[in-house]
Amino acid sequence: MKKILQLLLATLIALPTTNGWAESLDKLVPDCAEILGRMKREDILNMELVNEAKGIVILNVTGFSIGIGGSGGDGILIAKTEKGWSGPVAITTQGGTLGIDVGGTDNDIVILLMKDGVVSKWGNGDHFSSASAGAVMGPKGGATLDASMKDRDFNVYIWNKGAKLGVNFGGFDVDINDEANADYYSKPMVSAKDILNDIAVVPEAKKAGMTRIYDLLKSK
Amino acid sequence: MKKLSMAMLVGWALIPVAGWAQNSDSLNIAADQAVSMNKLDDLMGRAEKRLSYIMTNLGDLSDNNDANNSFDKFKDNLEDMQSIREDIKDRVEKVRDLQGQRIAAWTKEVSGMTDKDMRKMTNDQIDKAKADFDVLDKQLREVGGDANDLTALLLDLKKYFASSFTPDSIKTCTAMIEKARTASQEMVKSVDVLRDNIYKQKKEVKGTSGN
Repeated sequence: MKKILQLLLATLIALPTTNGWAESLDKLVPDCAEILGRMKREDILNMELVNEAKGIVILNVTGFSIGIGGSGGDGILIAKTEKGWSGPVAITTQGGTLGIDVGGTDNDIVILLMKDGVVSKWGNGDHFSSASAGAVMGPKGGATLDASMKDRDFNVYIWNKGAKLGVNFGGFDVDINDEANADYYSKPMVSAKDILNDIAVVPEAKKAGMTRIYDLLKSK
Repeated sequence: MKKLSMAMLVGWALIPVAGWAQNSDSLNIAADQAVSMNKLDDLMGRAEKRLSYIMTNLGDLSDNNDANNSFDKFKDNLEDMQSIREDIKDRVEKVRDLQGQRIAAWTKEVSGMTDKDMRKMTNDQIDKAKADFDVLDKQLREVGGDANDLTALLLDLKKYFASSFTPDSIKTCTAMIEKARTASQEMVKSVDVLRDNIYKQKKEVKGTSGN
């Protein structure tokens, strides 16, 4: 009995870090459009700052109770290119405390990446330690911007059933969901770098879903 | 005797607190209406997601000749979307019903006011609430009508492929698939605009509810 319980506990702890959580981009893109649409509608996002961003991460992160620790998230990363916004890169986040201030919760997160180097770091699937980046809650829609907001690595926006939580950011890994990217772009070897640099473009059949995200990213 | 006096004192002290905590009927209904609008917004978000999946399924179908079982996914997503639409229709009726109840309760409350200027000021507020909701209701009917047309087209595509599903029949139907995808994209845009208005109305209604 004790062994069964141990096994169950081990499975529970392992769940957020397995690839079984990774979603296909066909599902992630509409999900992320919904997150973005809600944050824009409720004037949570500062659209002027969105225009300044070099990249955007849109995530749904599920946190588990503090006793177990960690959180798992699925989402997309897009980068600003010379032609406009790139196609989506499917990503997962594991571990750490990405935006979770309370345990056992479900958070929608938008992160504005303000520097090209930071976009590359996400695109490389790096580890983010607590001290590796300056992450601050982004200013609300309509707020006047100052230079410091544009100079940060990240501006973070979190939505949780209408509540805006504080940022608790660090100690998490970003993984590139290669399988989802290969399926979406119909290219087995497609890399995040190719997508973010517009070398791999969104297939015609998938464009409608991304168009909604591109439209939402335009200022009102 | 001392205990009885204490109990009476406590009871007396509690009466006004309970009275202050009570809302008028119109405000209670407004709170329910705001919750209902929230649920309507959630349902519309779910419908938009299904429609996005459907657009992708149709795109995959015409580009890749049913690679990844796109037609089966299309049928499943269409069925889910129809079910969500039924929930949306019920929810819209609920929101309309609560609007009627709220205005009736509010109007009744105004009739109890004695000051003429107060009555006029409140009646103006009621007229504005009615006019704002009429705009939303018109939008709901228009988008609902377009959604009926789109659903009919998607159901026709399902029937067409159910009786003839070959690479040639997919190719023959390419123009209709594109028509459905374009209409779906327009629908998503219209629903986004509609949801913006639902959100604004919800805030106004919540304002009157004091929440």
